[in-house]
Amino acid sequence: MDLRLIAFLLFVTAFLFCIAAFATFYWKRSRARAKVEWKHLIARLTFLDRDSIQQVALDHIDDFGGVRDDEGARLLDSSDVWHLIGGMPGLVALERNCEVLIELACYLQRWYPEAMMAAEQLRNDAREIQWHVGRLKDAVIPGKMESEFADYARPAIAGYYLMTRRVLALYEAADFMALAELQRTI
Amino acid sequence: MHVGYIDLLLWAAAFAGHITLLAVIFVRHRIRAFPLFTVLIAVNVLKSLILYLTFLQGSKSSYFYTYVFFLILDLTLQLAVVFEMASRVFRPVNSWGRDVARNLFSLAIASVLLAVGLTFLAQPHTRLPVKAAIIRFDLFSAVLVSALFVGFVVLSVRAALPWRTHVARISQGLAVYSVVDVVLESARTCFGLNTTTALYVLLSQVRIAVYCACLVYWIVTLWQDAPAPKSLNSQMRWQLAALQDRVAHDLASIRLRRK
Repeated sequence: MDLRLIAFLLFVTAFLFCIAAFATFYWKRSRARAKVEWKHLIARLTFLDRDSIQQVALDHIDDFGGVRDDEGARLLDSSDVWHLIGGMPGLVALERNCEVLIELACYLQRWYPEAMMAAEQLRNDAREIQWHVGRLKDAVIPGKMESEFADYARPAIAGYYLMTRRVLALYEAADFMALAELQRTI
Repeated sequence: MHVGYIDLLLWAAAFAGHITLLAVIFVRHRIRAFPLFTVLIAVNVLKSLILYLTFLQGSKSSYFYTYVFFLILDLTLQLAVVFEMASRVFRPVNSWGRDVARNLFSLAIASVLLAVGLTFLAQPHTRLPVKAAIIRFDLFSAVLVSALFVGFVVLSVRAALPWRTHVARISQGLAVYSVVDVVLESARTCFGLNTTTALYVLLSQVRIAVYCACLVYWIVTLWQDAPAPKSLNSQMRWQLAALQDRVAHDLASIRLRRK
């Protein structure tokens, strides 16, 4: 058997193994997501101090979501922001909640086609905020944090704050029974 | 060229399967949702007829050129169907999700490179360069389509985009057929046509049998209706419309912040 044939067989076997592994793993995840119930999604949300999130968010944006440029804007420094969001555990909880909010948007897309537009915008926003939170976690490196943390934190938390308001509004519109439970959590 | 009873039986089964599937698509009004998939099936009906007639009345070379023409057309249409399925999943509101467009492009590039790489490594055991080229082309299309579909599943799950029932069923059928085809084409490459055509013919028969099973799967699943969606009442609809304005405003401010 020549070398090229052996290489071909090895690559084809590896390709088929990867295809089977990825397809099985992700298809199972997709099936599990399709079967997920509202109460299970809610149970995955981690409690975050809504007042602190609001304080950081409203330091950066106004009540209507516009970036503030008045004198009272961006008074919180990096250590204030870090303290208010609860340090690294708070950041991790924020990231996890973003994932759950994406799942909530997915749930709505799946079962309420009429809410497709709003749900898709929510999903896009949540992904964007996930990106900000990812940068935020990168910024938590000694020496780098002081200069960049607040810059990344403010838009991420303001985005998270706006998104949670929209999720609540969307679920309020869809008249979900568990709205009160969601309001308590996010 | 000798054609056995099993070949004729498989040809008839595939032809009947395509006709039945086309009837299901028209009767259940699936054509509007899946126009490119409908074209693929219709072209397969046409292909079976033309190849059969060419086989009966045409020369060996005319059969070969017709076969190659439909081989290329088939891959083109399969890729069109791949695009159709991707647009149903990744473009839920008539625009590609911001987070997935770049990933889809990378997936397409990676799949093509993978297919080219495996095709380059393959050394079909046949003395006829034309036959070798056909085996390589079949392998290329099978690897490309299977990699694209599995990539779609991965991307959609990571981006939390749901698959509609019929989109999922059509994609499953094509993906399973493509993966089995990779195995069969690899076997053809290794065992080839050096001494006898028996194994080559057997592998071709298995491939058509698997395809027939996919046709049956599509016929059954496209006949069935998707689970009924829940609907919003008039008050909810009004509230959602109001929410749309808020969402548009919020998005604008988020984009401003990014700049």
